Amino acid sequence: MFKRHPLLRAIVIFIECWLIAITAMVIIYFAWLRDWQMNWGASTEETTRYMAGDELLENPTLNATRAVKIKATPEQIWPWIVQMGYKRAGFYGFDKMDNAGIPSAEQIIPEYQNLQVGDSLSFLQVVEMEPNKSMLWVFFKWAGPWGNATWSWGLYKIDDEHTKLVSRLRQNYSFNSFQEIITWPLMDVCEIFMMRTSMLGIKHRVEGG
Amino acid sequence: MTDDNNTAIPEYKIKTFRWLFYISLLQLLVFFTVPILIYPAKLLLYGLILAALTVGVIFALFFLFVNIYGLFVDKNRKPLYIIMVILMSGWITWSVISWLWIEHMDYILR
Repeated sequence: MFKRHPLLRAIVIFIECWLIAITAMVIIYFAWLRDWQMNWGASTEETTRYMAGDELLENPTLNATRAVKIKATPEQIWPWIVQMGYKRAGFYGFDKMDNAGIPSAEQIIPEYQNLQVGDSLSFLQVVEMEPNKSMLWVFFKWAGPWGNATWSWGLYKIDDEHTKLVSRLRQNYSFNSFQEIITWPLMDVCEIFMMRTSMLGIKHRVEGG
Repeated sequence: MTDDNNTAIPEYKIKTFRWLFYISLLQLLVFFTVPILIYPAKLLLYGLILAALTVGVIFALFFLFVNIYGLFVDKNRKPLYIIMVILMSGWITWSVISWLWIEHMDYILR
């Protein structure tokens, strides 16, 4: 009787379809998509190579190394990275989400070029810096679930005209609060959208596209 | 004894499918009320676009498959399902293009 009513039968089919779809999405994500997105654009050498801050977090749950090839020298890319930050030059990504709606800079801003180790970039702190080569940001403890996460940037010269820009984000997930239970699965899947956009935003600006 | 007896789809199955179509359509409409509730008026359009390009794509895919199935099950409403398939395909294509060339999509970034 229950199964013969078209509406009830449709609801059962609807729920079954979603269960199948969610199971398929989880399997596809962990079997293939996660590895691909966590290492987007990066070679095996780049994902395994040491980067600043690696020693701060051992065996992180989130260990994302992304890379993009830019037609420029490290010296031409560096000023764009140095000036990044909330309410500074932005993150060259989704300005309404990560820069209070202020458009990310389209040019190099001289007053943001003298960044020093120890400087604060809102919820991030500059911990290591080697001009034209690498920079390490660590999230402040108070930055919610991101507290203590490390975000490293590296510039690796390929030839006289090309450089590989590499970003590595590392964090250990914990599920001690409702906020973290909600945050981590979402961030694991969605963080690539922001990081990729940011890195392509840098490439786009440096290459003058 | 005609072939129609073999190929005819039971009325019950068509009715069930139509309910499935309405539930899936309702799901899509409810999904778009979420950004309306959480984004301030100033950011509403931005919120809707982001929702459509992220989680919305999954709902669009779901509705696309429902409509493709409808083409075979409910032949009397074929034109409606064709229109929906075109709309959903357009939505999915738009999101794929947007993410492929995100650095040029100023309407999402700014």
